[in-house]
Amino acid sequence: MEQLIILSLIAGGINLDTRAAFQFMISRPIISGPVIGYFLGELEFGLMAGIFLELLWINVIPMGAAIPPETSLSGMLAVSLAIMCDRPSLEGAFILAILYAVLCSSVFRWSDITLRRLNTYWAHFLDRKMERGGLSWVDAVIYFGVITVFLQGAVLFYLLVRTGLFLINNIPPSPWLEEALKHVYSYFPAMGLGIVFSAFWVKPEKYPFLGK
Amino acid sequence: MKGIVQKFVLMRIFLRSFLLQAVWNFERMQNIGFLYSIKPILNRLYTDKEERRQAYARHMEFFNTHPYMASSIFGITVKEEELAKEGVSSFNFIYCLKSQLGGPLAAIGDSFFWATWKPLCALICSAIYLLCGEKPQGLWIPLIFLVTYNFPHLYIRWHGLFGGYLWKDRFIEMIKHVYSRGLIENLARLGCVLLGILTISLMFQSWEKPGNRLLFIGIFVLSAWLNHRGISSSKIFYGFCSLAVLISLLGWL
Repeated sequence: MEQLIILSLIAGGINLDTRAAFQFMISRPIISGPVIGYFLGELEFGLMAGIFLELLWINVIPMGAAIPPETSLSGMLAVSLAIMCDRPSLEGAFILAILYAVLCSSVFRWSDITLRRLNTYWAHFLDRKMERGGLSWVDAVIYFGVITVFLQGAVLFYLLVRTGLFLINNIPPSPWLEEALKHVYSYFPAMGLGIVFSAFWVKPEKYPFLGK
Repeated sequence: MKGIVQKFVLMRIFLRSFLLQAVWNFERMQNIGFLYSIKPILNRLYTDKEERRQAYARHMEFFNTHPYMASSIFGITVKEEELAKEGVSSFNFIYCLKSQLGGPLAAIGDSFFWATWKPLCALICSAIYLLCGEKPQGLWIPLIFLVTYNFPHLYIRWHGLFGGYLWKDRFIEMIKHVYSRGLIENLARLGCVLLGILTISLMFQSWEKPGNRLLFIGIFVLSAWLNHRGISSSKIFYGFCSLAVLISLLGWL
């Protein structure tokens, strides 16, 4: 319980990097995976899981003002669940955890969109305050925005890890399922590299707005 | 504004620019973050409370660009604000500048950083990990990724702010020249070559039976084709899992 709360706070902190602060890319699975793995005592697995997830979501990028599928909290959720759940093999648990995390990415994305809508209120709030001469509110609104994103990530992560643990632990282990998950895991790099390929496939019309 | 004071104010703007998107909203996007970032210069230039209020209100208008590229616009805006205070530039010009530079710089930032540099850095780190027979331990791989990725990131943030301040709109021409389509296409080609080497090496390293190698290549080609046709990676993953479960259920594995 205590470990999960600290883990959620770490996830909330890392999630800030997605949009609210810095953008050093520590929220990418290749970084967040090993960090979560290190915290849960499985650094080696966390690193490998992070690299697999990075290959899977390498094409997910926030172009323009579009909001892409969420990969930061979902990646940390998949790594955490795989390590924390009670399954016959870590590899099989990882595949089940990704299946669950992909579904949860819609929840994370929805909450992000809701938060961005709420931010419009803060823009109007600042307009009103500034009309009355309240100029010191700009900093307060920014810090409030950062805290909100942190709490949103931490609380959702906590709730979805608890739900995920319940669901994954209650899937009855059967030889055919474990065999299938083992095969998905062993061929995961082939699928991931295939997805990476389309990221680098250069089409002349891909960058029409850039000069020669 | 000269010397140490100028550098100190620009340094504060640089640090504040990391929170540009903290209150990103659908109506005016990065407007609050923009005002928060350039607040130190506005406070220094406008000591009268009413003038300062008007300056704040001017920068609450719509603004959106790539977060790394915003530094160049900060630099130019700071310079133009100083000139406007002296009566050489105008507030209307600053407004036009912000709205006209945001789009093109966002396009450069998205194409270079999001669509090319980030996948390339991730691919290099994945290749180091997957090709090492003795898997690297510790946090070396994430550290390599962080350093490689953030070198041009922090460079453009820092240099963009000071370059924009010193050279104004001429700096944008320099950026356009450096981050050209040719550079991006060459980096993408490098990614393709690296990916080819990685895929072939991995196939021969991990799979001894020819049938398994064929399956490896088949999954690679199918995933690449599906993703290229616009099917998301998550859907491909779900399809892959469903197929594996079905085959296992039928006893073919």
